[in-house]
Amino acid sequence: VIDLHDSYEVFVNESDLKNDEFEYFFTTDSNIVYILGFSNASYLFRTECLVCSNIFSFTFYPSEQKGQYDPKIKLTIIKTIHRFIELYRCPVIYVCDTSSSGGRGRLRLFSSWFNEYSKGLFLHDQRIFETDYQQIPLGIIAAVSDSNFNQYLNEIDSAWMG
Amino acid sequence: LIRYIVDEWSFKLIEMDTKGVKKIKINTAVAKPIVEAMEKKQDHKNKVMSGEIKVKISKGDRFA
Repeated sequence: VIDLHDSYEVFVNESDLKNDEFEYFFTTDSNIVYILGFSNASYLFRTECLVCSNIFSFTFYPSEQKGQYDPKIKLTIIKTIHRFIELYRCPVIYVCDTSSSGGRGRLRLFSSWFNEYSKGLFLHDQRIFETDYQQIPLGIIAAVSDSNFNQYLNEIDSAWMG
Repeated sequence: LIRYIVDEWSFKLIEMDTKGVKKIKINTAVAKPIVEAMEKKQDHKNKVMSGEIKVKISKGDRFA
């Protein structure tokens, strides 16, 4: 789906991680290292939801302040998420920054990335959860063959509404 | 009013309008532990980006 020449090589980070965590990294042409982390997202769900126990939460960030605009970063991030879903056959949740007002903008950005590159191979949905004092924008991506897809966000809905 | 932010990854203006995304009002008390867990992850991320925490890198196999 993605031209590999337009993205960076991603490697496993073999540093000491917990059993339910996976970490990868890539280095940009400007020599900035980006970390891509996947960890079990069961804390978002009720324990009764067995199909939700295999969902991973995704995060990414540079190991220092970011440099200049680099289109390869976006492609590398998408490529890594796709590879992870294909390899481990599990959905991936991303939670946008809740500490600033930019979270909704990033939700929209992720949506445009997904629309551009999913090519019918992946399912995608988003929610904005609202408390009295903040918003929590999040999205979920899964393989198109995942028959439980509609259940995942409904489970979060019911778990969080109490 | 439609508001925009400068996207930190592309340096382009991103419209903050999320029309079409389902919004769910949640129980603040029920969601508290979940929100705290998220904030802890965010805090770690911020500390790495600010240089306060140094991430250990040990290069393994190629993944993608």
